[in-house]
Amino acid sequence: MTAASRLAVELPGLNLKNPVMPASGCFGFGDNRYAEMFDLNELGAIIIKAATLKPRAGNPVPRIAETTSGVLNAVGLQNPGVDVILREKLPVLHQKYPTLPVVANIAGATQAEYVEVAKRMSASGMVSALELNISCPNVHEGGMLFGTDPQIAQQLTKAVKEVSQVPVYVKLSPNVTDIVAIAQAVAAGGADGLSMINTLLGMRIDLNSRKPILGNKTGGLSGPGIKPIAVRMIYQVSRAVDLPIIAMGGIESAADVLEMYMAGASAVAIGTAHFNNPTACPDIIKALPSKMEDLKINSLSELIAEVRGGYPNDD
Amino acid sequence: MLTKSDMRIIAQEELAPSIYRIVLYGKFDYAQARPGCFVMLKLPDGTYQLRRPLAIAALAPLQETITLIYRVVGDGTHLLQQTAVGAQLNILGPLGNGFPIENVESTENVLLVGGGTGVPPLMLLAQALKDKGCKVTTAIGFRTAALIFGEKEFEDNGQLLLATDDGSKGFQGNVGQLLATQPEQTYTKVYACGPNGLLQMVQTRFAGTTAEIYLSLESRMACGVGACEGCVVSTKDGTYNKRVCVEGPVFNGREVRL
Repeated sequence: MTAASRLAVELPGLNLKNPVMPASGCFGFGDNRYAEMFDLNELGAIIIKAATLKPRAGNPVPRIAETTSGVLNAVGLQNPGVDVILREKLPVLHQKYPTLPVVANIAGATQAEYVEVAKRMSASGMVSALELNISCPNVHEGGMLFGTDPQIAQQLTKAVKEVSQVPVYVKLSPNVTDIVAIAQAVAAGGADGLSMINTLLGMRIDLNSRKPILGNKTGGLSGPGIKPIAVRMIYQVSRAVDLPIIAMGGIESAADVLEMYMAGASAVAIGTAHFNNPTACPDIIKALPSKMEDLKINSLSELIAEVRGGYPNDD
Repeated sequence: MLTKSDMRIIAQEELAPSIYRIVLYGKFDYAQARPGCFVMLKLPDGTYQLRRPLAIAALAPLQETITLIYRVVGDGTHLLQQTAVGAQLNILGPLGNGFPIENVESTENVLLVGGGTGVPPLMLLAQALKDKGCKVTTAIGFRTAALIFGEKEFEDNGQLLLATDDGSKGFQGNVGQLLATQPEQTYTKVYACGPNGLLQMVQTRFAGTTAEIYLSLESRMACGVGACEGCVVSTKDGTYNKRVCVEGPVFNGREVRL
């Protein structure tokens, strides 16, 4: 088996040469200076920043606070709106990297908004899949509210599936008591896949001002500190729901990627790791084959089959 | 070209209580770096998830060194201060737009205004403007005499006006009050870096003049490369926020909303 086919994975709508993609919100629309440091064609795919129907200015600054082994952010889905993204952002990305699969993250304050954004985005011919963001902790209407009630999550998934021309991955919130119930609900709503986990709701307080550091007061916690939570949730969900999972939550190395696979993932997204290491994605892609060799993993697709095929006999 | 490379610490010294100067040697795009640009410094401990944005205070392309000046404010900068000469630090840069100085003429009368950790990028700027032949006046403020740094660098490159809050050296009061005592002058350009209060003072004071105003902003940042939208600022001519790390950190003082 060639090194290339060892990393190839196939998910609904996503035929990937490798499983590594930048996570939504950590890579803009590819319109940033990361592209000066490596060729984006090396990526398995790219998940672009959340699109909403209308432009969103986002939250007041500060939007970023560091924590031990993590980062809190409260950007608040700042974006120029779906029409500008389709007119100005995606064509540039598509023209520069015509073969790079694009996953479009979509968000909204109401079901009607999600449906409208899904309709326009999926009809563009420039995206391979949608990532339905029902888990943003930093907006005051919509966002996470859709991802914490199974019935609402199911309804929304169903409505988006009805209009989408590309497969739909639902991005789950870890800020729930039972993530399996939500995963089952969106599966029943017709989701083609899951992506998990979004950030955990957190807060930091400035000792001098005695007030929350973030302008939004609360923010979403990401980074290696949340990786064990992601691993646990992916493990639980993959045993209960027969859908492919794009795993995210503190991944920063090839070893982390393989740990996610062993929990039940089919692909991975990298977020916070970019901030310390702007070439985290290509570095991980390069490191994967030898790490797999060390662990006697022939190919990722075989690892998926082994892990998820092994579930019926799981104790 | 934007690069991340390991640079070796060849000097680290205390300039004033909790203010340190660190000199790094190694590969860096010296030709692209200009006054007002910054780097993102990776701390030598993987538990820190964010690099630290630090302005370039001096550049020596022939010696292949860059100088950064920082204040110890938390665990991360404390760790940096504890890092020994000889150790390697990973540097991402050069970043940011820098101060616009291409069109500055040798006949110009320019003013630099700074305070606290806003002073370091002005050191590189003062030298560049003096090299162009400009008449450079620098007004900088500190809390107290013991915290002053950069005096010699600014005096070497023009006239220095110094203020301390407690009057222990120079003018007693802040930089705004210091400038108010100065005879009216026609500056063609005013460059400032420091806390928002100082920048707002500069906006107000020079609003009615013909001077071009350039303000360098500080912000909490995550990526430094325009990807995360963490460090945004608004401008008067648009509703969509600008990114301090890419469209800044230097903004037209007549447009940026502080």
